[in-house]
Amino acid sequence: MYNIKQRVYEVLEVSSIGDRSSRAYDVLMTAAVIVGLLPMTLKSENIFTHCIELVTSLIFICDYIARVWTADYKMGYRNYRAYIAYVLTPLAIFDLLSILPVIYLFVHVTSRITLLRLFRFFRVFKLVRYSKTMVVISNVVRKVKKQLLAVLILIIVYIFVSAMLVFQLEPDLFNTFFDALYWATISITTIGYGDISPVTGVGRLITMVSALMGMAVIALPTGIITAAYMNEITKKKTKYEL
Amino acid sequence: MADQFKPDLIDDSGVHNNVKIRQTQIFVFMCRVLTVILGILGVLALIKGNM
Repeated sequence: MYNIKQRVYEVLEVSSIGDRSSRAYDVLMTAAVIVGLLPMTLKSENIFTHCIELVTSLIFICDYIARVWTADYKMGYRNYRAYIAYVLTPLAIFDLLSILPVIYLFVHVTSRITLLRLFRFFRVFKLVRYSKTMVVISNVVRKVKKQLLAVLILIIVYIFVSAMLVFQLEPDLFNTFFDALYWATISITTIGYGDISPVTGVGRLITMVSALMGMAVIALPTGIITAAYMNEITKKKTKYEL
Repeated sequence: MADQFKPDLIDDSGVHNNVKIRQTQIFVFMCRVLTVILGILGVLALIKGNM
């Protein structure tokens, strides 16, 4: 028996080879994401950016409603909990956040409402669904997330410690602790803008140590992700050959 | 297998419209139209925004 809910699920998620509806839908969603990001590349809004915002938001709202409606198929069990579980998944949250910018078209513009426009950025994450390469990368990151988290914590701790040290040693250089954090981040990532630079000997010594530490620490996530990515590709290749 | 893509089914009682195929064609057509509209809006927004 023809089940429309199942068919909607097949178009949204399964995307079988030869399914023209699914292919057309994927192309539409990819176009909506890319075109929806265009207003962020312009300095001012115009009538066409408002139309883009309206059309893309309507498409994303329909997409979100359809995905929530077929959440029981996606999560694999027929229960009201499937809908709640789906709504709390990261991609569903990003979908909901990416719809919010449309509010500024209908309410009085204040500085807070203007900030909602930045939520357009979340639309980029929708591309994960429609690109096989992005799916591979997201799988890779998911597999090594514990190692990446450990490295991230190490980097954050180091930034805080060196910021605190330099903030105490060079009180005239930094207006606030945030300036010291900014300096520490720019030093450890070896960017070195030069807008804030220590003048005392100890401050410069800490800068030198930060730069050397930075070369080792910043390279760690790259190595972890590259190794995991090569493993993933080798696994897929082996699976294909078998 | 080739009949799967034909909108009409033929049997002894006559010619029937395959509803599922028609719905698929309408859906694919609407998706393509929306994609083209989005493309045009994007180009116009870029031109107007950079003038």
